[in-house]
Amino acid sequence: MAVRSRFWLFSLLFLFSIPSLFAIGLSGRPLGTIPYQPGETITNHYAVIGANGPVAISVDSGPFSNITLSELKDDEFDLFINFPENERIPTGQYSFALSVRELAGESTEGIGSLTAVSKVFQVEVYSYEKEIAAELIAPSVNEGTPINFKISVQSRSYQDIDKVNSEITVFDKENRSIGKLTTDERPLPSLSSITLRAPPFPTKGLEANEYSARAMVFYDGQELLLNGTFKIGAIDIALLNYSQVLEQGFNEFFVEVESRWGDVLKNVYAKVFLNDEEILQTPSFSLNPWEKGVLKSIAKVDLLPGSYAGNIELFFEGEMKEVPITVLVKEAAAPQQQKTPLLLITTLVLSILLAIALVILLLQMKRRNERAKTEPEKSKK
Amino acid sequence: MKAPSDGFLLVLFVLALGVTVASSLVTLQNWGYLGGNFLTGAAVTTAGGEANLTVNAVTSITNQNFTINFGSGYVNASCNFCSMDSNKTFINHFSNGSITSSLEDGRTCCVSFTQVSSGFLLENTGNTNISVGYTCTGNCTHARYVGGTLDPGMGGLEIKVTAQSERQQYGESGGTDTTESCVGGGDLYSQLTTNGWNISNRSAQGGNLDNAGKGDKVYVLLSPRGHWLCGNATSYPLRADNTQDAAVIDVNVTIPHDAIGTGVRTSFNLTFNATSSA
Repeated sequence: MAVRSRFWLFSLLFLFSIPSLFAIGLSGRPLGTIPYQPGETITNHYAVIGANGPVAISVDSGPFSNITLSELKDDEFDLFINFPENERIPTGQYSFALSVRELAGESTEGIGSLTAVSKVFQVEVYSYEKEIAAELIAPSVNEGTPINFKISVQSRSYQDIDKVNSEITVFDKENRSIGKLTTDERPLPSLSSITLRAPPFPTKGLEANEYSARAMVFYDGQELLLNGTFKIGAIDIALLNYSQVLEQGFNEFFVEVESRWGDVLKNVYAKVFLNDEEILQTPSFSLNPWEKGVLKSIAKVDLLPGSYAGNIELFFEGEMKEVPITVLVKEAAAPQQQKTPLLLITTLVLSILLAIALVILLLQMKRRNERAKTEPEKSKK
Repeated sequence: MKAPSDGFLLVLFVLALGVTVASSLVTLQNWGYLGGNFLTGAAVTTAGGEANLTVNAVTSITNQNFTINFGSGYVNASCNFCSMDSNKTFINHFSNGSITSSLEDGRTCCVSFTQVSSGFLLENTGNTNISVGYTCTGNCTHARYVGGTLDPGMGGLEIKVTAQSERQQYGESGGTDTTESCVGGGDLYSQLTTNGWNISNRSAQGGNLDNAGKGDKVYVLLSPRGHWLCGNATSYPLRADNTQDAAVIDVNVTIPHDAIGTGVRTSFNLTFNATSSA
């Protein structure tokens, strides 16, 4: 008996000692694209997870000379990324990789497998000449509101830039120049960012529409061209789409609208008229600047099949706009029988069965108790 | 043995009824049939505080089947070749030229070998998108692994990838896939211009990509130096989502009738490598 128990114990131990799967993982704080800065050292901590046996860690350092690893201890280690002061890597995008792989598990018969994981690091080496990246910020505004153009400038160079400034030209929809602005002038230290600001551009007299702006950025004798578009908004709303086919009876009707205003438009709703009769009014909502939204409601259609003219009244901020529409009314499709959820039926049946079982048991207990009371009396007699 | 008392049975019934009703209510609430939050762990009071949280990027790959072993055997004298697949299939290449495919019962050419029903089940078990490739060590060519003379056009030692949503091999740790894996799409596959498990050797060398992407379920030669199976060093289309994060690598071996039986077991090892951004 004891021998058999020991056999099962050892069998179980053997079974548990066999790895059921092979896995390996590497966990660490994500670094994203690393900007190459000579003289800088970055340290990041990693943990090896899920490995069943010994592992080997390695780094393929690519063009970089001083990327090293600490000793692996308790499945954890550090990665040291050092860019030496005197190392000059040509401008461009580079990568290096950190890997961990299983050492155990190699099969001596059949086809064996191991797992390994690698993390690929991207390093961006900026220009050793003067170079920038910039973006023109042209905000959309409402009629009569001045526009504050800004230019965000990032240094992409290991050299300081003495002065950066810009000229902005504004164009209308037909690409005619309607104004020029000059931004302030500022120095740009290596690998830093600044924002250039232009004086407010007046929009008085300009109609609601789309406009464009072109900025020429000057930096220490070099230039960079930027383009941008913006809108001048009016308190208006545009009808983009609506339910064009309805069935007789109840239908969901949608009205897709777009705000043409640079602020929040409150109390936006629609009324739909078909064949001179109001068929629905939607609930109201608010639209953010230039935002699209869908108004929905249920419409009851009693009209005969055919094409009908109507109109949608769009309400916003106490104003109203009427848009003509055409809707096709079709014959109603046969109604589909709604299925009762299976889970509800199962739960109900189960509960009833249990309740019946409980009642039967209680009755049996009652009868048994009564019998127990009467039997001693009989035996006495 | 003494029969349980009625009181004990009554307690059991009441308990069972309570559990049934409670579990039904919980299920109904989870399924959205009941409104409100009467059974939740939601906080009912709030207090000010500060929490620092860093979410680590975990690059992880799991292989649920670490070995494929066809065992030992020989080619029947009436056959030219015996082919075995890790998806349970035996292929009989008879001397009269006919070729039949069968499971265990119908195999004639592969005598005594072990039927294998599982390939290498690879799964992205981290929280980042990855690419997957392999390298090979050991006897990675047909000549070294098996030997013998193959017919022209025969691969001899081949592998293929099948998305787990189709292969449905048992054992995936995060629930069996329901959607095809390695279909990152868009920017995730921008380097290869297409989606899907790609086992073409050509793609590893940056060659013609016409047949890339839907190269799954097609056997290709095992490459002794390895190649990418999904994505590459800069594109990571195997998502971490549990519904589309796995695939099965199957192996097909062909044994010619003139392969010399050395009596020494032969082997090779595949190292499956998961790569992600850091």
